Amino acid sequence: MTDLTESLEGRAIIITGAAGGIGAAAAKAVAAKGANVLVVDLFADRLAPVAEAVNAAGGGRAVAFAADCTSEDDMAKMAETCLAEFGAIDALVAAAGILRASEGLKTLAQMPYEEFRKVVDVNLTGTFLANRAVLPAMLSAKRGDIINISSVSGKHGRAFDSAYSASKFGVIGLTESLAEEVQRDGVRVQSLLPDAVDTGIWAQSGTAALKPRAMLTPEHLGLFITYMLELPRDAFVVNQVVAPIPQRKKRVKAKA
Amino acid sequence: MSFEDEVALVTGATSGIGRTIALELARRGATVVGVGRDPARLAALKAELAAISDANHAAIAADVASEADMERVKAALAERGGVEVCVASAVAKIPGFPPRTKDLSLADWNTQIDVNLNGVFLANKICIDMMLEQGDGDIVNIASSTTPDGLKGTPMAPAYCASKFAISAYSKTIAAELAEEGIRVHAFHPGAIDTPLIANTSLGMAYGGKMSPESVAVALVGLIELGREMGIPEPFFLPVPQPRAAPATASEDTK
Repeated sequence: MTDLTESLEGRAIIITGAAGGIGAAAAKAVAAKGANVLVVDLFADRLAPVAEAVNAAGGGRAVAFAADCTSEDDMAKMAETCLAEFGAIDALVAAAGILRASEGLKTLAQMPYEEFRKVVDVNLTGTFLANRAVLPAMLSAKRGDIINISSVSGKHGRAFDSAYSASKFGVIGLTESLAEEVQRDGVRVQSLLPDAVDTGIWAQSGTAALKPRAMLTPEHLGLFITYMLELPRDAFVVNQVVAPIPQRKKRVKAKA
Repeated sequence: MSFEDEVALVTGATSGIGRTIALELARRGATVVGVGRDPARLAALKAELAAISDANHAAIAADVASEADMERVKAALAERGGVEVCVASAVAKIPGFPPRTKDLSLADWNTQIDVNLNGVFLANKICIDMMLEQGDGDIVNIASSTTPDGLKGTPMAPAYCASKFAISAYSKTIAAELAEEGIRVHAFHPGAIDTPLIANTSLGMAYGGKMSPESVAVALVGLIELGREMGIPEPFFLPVPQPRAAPATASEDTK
């Protein structure tokens, strides 16, 4: 790495949805580069082991903070806690998200209002509240990084995914709008669009779920998020899709 | 180092991002075969590469639009045992102020299509056989985010935009052809970069900032490395806009 690459050593990074999946992998990946992480999730019981794993790994320090990303109060306290623990908020990775509010696939016609609203609350409004909470500290430091996790479903809708897809389209719009508002002030805002990742989110589809054949691991996304945070500060990547690498054909070398 | 024992071809290697990508690949362990046209700049590139490592780097004078010239480049790659990375970065610069499309000569149009598009095809073509033989390889074609909103038309850059749109489409085609053979194809779409190509043209002004060629090289070479583990389709990189300059009246006051 050249010296242009941003060092994450000693940086303070908030990660929502950090109890599992992409959020947990991102926490481990950036902590391995020396960043301190405030790992945030609704599920305190599953969050504690992630913080313990980070702290046992000997990189940056992790502090667990149980919070609901749809609560204005919780998100404000999240920012306060990061400042109190680490003295700064250098980056936010907003990874909290759900696929469905109840088990099983539903068409839009079958979708109860409450279920639709729940998905949009967590995925879109939760991203808004987490972003808004960290902005004052970043704007006053004239420096910061925000990465919002959208999805390939943020570019293309699919049957049975109306709420999820709508929320992830929304995350891209929110990210682009915020980028125009604050990038001139040193706060870099990017979104990441994972294709199929092998996380617990698939269980939310119940037995009806057809898991894709090829999937990324959460660790792949941890690596890519690290790359985005380490990018030289004059560049940003636009709504990047990250997908499983195509399966390689079995090669049989012709005999001479 | 991530590109240790690998051979990397870089066209357009004597200036702009071709040069910084060549140097970044060398820093990360690659043996670089750089292609350019200007003998003095080629000599300078060779010296810069030699200062980074004592690998068997080459700086070759060749026209990327000439099949015969590119066959010579292919021989240089073969001498070094093959090629793992192909970066097609050469682009034609038409001197003078960019004309309106109605005033663009066919000769200037053809020069840009020859170098920007046909040059990419030929650079890829000389590498693909060797990559198929290895069952491995990375091809990176430098397209462009022709506007801050992605691939859209820019006034007074018809041949440039046409060639860059074409690179994007062409790269998708060979990506689909070669994916199962273990060859990864990236069409890299950068926005405005601080290079001679776009100085004083409409291509650079809309972004509110420019990326340094060094930053772009770090971003791109990092992407090639990550791309070996995951699919990263059609990456677009844009400059982070710079703070707006103080109003003109403020600078008047300070005089």
